[in-house]
Amino acid sequence: MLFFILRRLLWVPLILLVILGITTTLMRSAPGSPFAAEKRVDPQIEQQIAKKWGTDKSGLAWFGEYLKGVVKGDLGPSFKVQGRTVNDLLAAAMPVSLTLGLLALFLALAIGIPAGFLAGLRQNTAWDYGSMGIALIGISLPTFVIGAFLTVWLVFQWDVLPVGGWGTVKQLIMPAITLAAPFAAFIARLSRAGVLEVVHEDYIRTAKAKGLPKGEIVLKHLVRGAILPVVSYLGPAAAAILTGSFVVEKLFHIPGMGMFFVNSAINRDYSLILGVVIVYVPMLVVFNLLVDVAYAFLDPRVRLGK
Amino acid sequence: MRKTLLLCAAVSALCVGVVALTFARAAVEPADFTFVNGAEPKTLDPHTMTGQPDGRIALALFEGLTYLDPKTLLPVPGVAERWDVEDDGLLWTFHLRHNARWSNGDTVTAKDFYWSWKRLLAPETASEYSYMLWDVVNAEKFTKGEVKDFSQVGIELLDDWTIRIRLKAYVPYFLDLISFYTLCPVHPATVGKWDKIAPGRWTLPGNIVTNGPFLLESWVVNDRIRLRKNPKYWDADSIKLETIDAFSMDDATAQLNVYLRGEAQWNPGYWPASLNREILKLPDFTRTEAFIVYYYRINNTLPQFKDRRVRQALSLAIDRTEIVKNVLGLGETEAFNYVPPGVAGYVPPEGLGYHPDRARQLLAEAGYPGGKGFPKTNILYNTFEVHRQVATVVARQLSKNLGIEVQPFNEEWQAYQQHTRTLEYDLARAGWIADYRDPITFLDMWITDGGNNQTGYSNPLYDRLYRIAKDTLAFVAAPDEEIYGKLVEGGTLKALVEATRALPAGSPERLASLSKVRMLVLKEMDRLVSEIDVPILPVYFYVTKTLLKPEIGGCYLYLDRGDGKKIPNVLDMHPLRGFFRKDR
Repeated sequence: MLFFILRRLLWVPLILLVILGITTTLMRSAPGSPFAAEKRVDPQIEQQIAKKWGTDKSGLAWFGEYLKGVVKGDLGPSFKVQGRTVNDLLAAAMPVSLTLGLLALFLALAIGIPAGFLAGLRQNTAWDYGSMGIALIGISLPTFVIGAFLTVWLVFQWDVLPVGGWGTVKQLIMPAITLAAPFAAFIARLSRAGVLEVVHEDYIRTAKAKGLPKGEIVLKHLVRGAILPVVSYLGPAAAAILTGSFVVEKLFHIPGMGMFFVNSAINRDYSLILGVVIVYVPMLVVFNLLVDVAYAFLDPRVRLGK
Repeated sequence: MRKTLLLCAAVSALCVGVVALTFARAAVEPADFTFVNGAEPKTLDPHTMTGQPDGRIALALFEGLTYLDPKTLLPVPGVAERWDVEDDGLLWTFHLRHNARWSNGDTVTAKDFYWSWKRLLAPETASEYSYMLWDVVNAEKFTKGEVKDFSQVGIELLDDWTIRIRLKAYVPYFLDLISFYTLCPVHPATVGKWDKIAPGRWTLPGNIVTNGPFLLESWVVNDRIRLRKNPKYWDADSIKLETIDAFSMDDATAQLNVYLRGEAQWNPGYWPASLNREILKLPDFTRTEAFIVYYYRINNTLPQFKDRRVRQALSLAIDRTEIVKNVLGLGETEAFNYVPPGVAGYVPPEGLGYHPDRARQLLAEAGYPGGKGFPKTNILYNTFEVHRQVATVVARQLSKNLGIEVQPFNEEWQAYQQHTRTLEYDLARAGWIADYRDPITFLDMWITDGGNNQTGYSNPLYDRLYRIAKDTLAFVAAPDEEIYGKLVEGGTLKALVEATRALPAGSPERLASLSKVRMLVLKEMDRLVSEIDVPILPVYFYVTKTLLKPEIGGCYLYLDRGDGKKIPNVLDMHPLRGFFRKDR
């Protein structure tokens, strides 16, 4: 088990290197530059700027220099927020996205799983149709629409919450709900599907035949199997939700790192693009690893380390 | 199963714990005045910044020799107490006040300006706006590395309190340049110290040393910049606000929301364009003409666009009135020429107007009767709702009026930039914002091989007129008679030049007359691009739009120039130093 985990973690640097290489190739071959502006500057000044920031080097030479810095823990200067390093920007933004993400993840699980189980256990009843109807809305509506509806009601109609910003618990409520909504909906559908799959399994029938009380069947036998689809979804979902959301952060004026994913690419802020990759890739790998480990506990058929 | 439940409980506890830890701090106390500043500033280094959000902050943190009075936008004494102008406007001597201080207590001296301007012009600074100082003798050559010795540049330090500037040619708007943020001083010791450790970090709170009316208290990326009144500022009594918050946000809906909820009291035009008609109804909405033009570049290097009659036909076939009335609707005006109105003494040429019949006739003369055989044409625009709408309407008008096939063509910002520069387009959307109030800031674009030309347009006559506009004095001293015959208003120009020559050197009348010559030359340039050669298609002139809460004062959309007439604030400049609260 331990060996399995270590082996998977040892892969992280290599995976990261490959993804960084691909990202660098893509971003350097995309048209434009970090310094493109509507007002074009004198070509000589353009050269001076490229020299100052090191973008006059070939893609490979630049990547080499960059990696040297990364090994030392220096992610380089941001091209678009000058005077700050990518380390500065991520250090300031990550706690914000992490806080919001954890809360949203908690909400998504706390709403999604019970709703899904209820729907699955009471298939084709009003409970089922009701919760799946709401889930369908949650999946279909993009976050910017949900966020806008919440803003209209909670801010402009009822005047109970601030319109955005970061600093108080009140300011956290709307973005957390908005961020959680699509995840909650997806989790609800997955757990319903999980319940329906497991509920007809032989071991559940056996448990019923043994005369176990219904509550005990659900808690002891059903949950373990039915939760598996949710668990596998949680790996990538947690990595995505904890690194922030572009739409939610923009809409509610939150200084998180979700913005960096999109803005750095639009701005061709090379070092920041790679910086978010460096944060996101290990998170994704680690969360997927956690999923596999969780499988070993939940599913008796899975044994790690072989 | 109990384990799983325990795990759930642990996760929830962790969530609550993290949230509690993060939010244990108190909410940020609102500032005296908060405004929406648009996108996150790129930098607070006045020498390398270019954007409007950056500039608003810079002019609150730093002060140049002169600054623009918020009420009039006329240059008034800043760090310089007074100045002398000699030699037909070529030699400027600035005398500094002795009571200007840096925020660390150091005195602001002429040495600081000398050092700062040397830094601004130095090639290694790579300043995009160093050209603001290129009217100074040898300044451009120093930036381009052709002159290595800074003592050959026309900037001379006479003593701690006096600095002298020699210009290449008379620049009527020179004090506007001196007041621009690019020419503000930076603190030499601080910048020098950080350049050795971590370049650029001197601009962060705690490191930065400034000399303007406000101090940089905090700067949270993608959140806000907080400014606090500088008690050491020499004119601190005139500053009414203690704290100012500048919100960095780039989502149009969020920008409007914070204003509507009163969390920001000033929104200088940042909201979804689709809501324009609703915002127009708000009582706190105001607008004025802006010194900004929206136009289309024509790729003059494509065979079908090489004939100027084709380009004229395109311009004649655009119904600009439909665009400003039905697409925009905020009071924008039709652009039939290139330079927006708003410069004193500048009379724009009439332009071609909207005449579809004449357009079809010109297109036929050029070999495309009824648009037959004309290649399919794309209108390139970058992703933005208004650009899409305008391009769609223009494409429809051109198709209908000329019988040619025209389609809007969208690209993301960076690809659009690249393809405009490499002339990989047919027609391409563009806009130009003035930095100072003079037509040359628009017209210098179309000189042969100019960096911002990007159309392939080249006319030796245009280049010649540009050189005259840049050094009118030299032209008046030795006019080249042959040029008059090539101009529509050549006769008038000749008479003006001769009248100027008759006036005594250095007299104010002569400078005024020189200015008239110059304005006429600029008009002829404008005429070439909008009536005769038509390398571009001007579409409309922007308006400046603002939402301002009634309790806030000091934001002037109309300027009081003292003669009883109010003129529009076409540069959309609202220095933060002028703001105050009417309710406190």
